[in-house]
Amino acid sequence: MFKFIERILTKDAVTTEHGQYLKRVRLKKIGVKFSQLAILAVVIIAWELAARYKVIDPFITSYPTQIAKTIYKMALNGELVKHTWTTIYETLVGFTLGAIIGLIVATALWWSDYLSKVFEPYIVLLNALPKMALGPILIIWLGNGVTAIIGMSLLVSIIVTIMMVYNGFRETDNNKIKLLRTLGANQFQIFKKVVLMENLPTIFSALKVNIGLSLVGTIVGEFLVSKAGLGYLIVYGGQVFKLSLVMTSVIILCIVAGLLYYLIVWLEKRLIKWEN
Amino acid sequence: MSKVEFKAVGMKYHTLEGETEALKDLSFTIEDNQFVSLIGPSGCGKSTTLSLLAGLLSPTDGQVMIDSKEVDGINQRVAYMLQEDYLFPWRSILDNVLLGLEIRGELNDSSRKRARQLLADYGLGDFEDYYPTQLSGGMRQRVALARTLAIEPDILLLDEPFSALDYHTKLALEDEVAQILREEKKTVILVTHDIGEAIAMSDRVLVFSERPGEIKSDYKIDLTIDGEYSTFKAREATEFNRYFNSLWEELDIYV
Ligand SMILES: Nc1ncnc2c1ncn2[C@@H]1O[C@H](COP(=O)(O)OP(=O)(O)OP(=O)(O)O)[C@@H](O)[C@H]1O
Ligand SMILES: [Mg+2]
Repeated sequence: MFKFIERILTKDAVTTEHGQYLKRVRLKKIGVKFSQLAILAVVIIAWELAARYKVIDPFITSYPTQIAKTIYKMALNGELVKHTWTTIYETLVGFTLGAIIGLIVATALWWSDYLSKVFEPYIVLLNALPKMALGPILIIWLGNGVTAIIGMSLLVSIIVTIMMVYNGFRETDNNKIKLLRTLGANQFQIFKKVVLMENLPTIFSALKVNIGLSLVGTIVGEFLVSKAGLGYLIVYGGQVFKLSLVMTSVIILCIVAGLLYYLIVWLEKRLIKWEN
Repeated sequence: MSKVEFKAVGMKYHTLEGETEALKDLSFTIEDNQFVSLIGPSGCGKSTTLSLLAGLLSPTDGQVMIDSKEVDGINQRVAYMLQEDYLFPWRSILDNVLLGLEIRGELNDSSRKRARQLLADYGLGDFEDYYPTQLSGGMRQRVALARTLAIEPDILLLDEPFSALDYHTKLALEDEVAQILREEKKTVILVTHDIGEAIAMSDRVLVFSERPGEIKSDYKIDLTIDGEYSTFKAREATEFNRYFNSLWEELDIYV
């Protein structure tokens, strides 16, 4: 039995010493994963027990089995899919629009030095402004519904996209650009063949930040206007004092946030193959 | 007819802080198929001279002529090789070599075949699908040479192409490049700080004065080499040291 575990831990070893090295690295990796799961398990169990034995008030904290039951019920009557999908949909639309428009604006700023000089103070100002403050304005402009929520999601993420991507574009290796110019490249070819390619990692860092920000925008938007979505459930649950609903929504939100983030990471891995 | 002619060329750079006169009244000619090295103190305008030839800059005075025509913008007959290879890490080795052809819209089966042949000639045939990070410095610089020659230029501008390499690689690559370029019958202008490299590789060495750059002296290099030419044999030629010493003295004043 021990022999077998040893063999798995030292798999692909070139020498015995290399095997020992691999074993150390792999044991550490397993240790980290185990600890992560252990923390989750301890928190869930402690929460459950504390609520059962009334160490904490289950009415205001809810507890894991109740949350599981709520999820199960919501899954059966279709509420789970409806609200989760609403939030994901609004976030993805806001995020995608923010990324596309942000990328276009960053490109325009890189293209024209004059434009970037002119707009710089305005962008800095917009970045410093807490975008949530614009929520009520958005509702008046875009109506009391999904459009306003998407607007919020877009607004929160777009400025960061513009700033991060434009700064990346501006710092493109000048010698690579010079090389292309000596080969006779025009501005568009320079953009396509160097500026964009060299900045794919930067663009993905911006996307990773923004998928989270877009979700924040969506939730805030849902707090303000919506009739569906996880943000709506949280507000509604709070108003009718159904804490299990609030907790359930927050936990689903955690999972959604994680999934959306890993969606970007997955895209990045597929697109940037030369890095490893 | 000269391949390259500088007629009283002056070049001034303007910045907010002021004006830098990089070149002043610079005149020289280079014949077809000549291999010429430019040496001179740092900041005397050697790179500027190459940029003018490549059409990246226009002179503020005088004229720069190639084949008796004034240079106006990027010239398709000129290729520029920079100090570092600047290979694009996101492109495979072959795709890096094809870059120039792609930009000029000359990518077709025959040009692609020629590019692959270049790689094979430089001992990189098996590395076509590798990425630049997987290659050594010397190999990368050879890929950069292939990329430069793939567009079939008449005139090659080399700006300290070996200075980022370690000593052994540099010597080996110097020899390889000198042999290749001699065979290909190109007009070559090499900027270098290495006097030995200049003598061993070129037919002619132009010494620049301190900024603003002018031609201070013009050496025709004539080495007695028995057998096949190589930069190693060139360094062993009896005249090598004589050239080295006079060039050294010319530059010494400024160090
Ligand atoms: N874009 C620029 N703007 C302003 N000044 C410049 C610019 N490029 C070069 N110069 C100045 O012009 C002078 C000549 O520069 P150049 O690069 O041609 O010198 P060089 O002979 O190639 O030097 P080195 O041997 O160090 O490479 C230098 O004083 C440099 O500071
Ligand atoms: Mg230089």
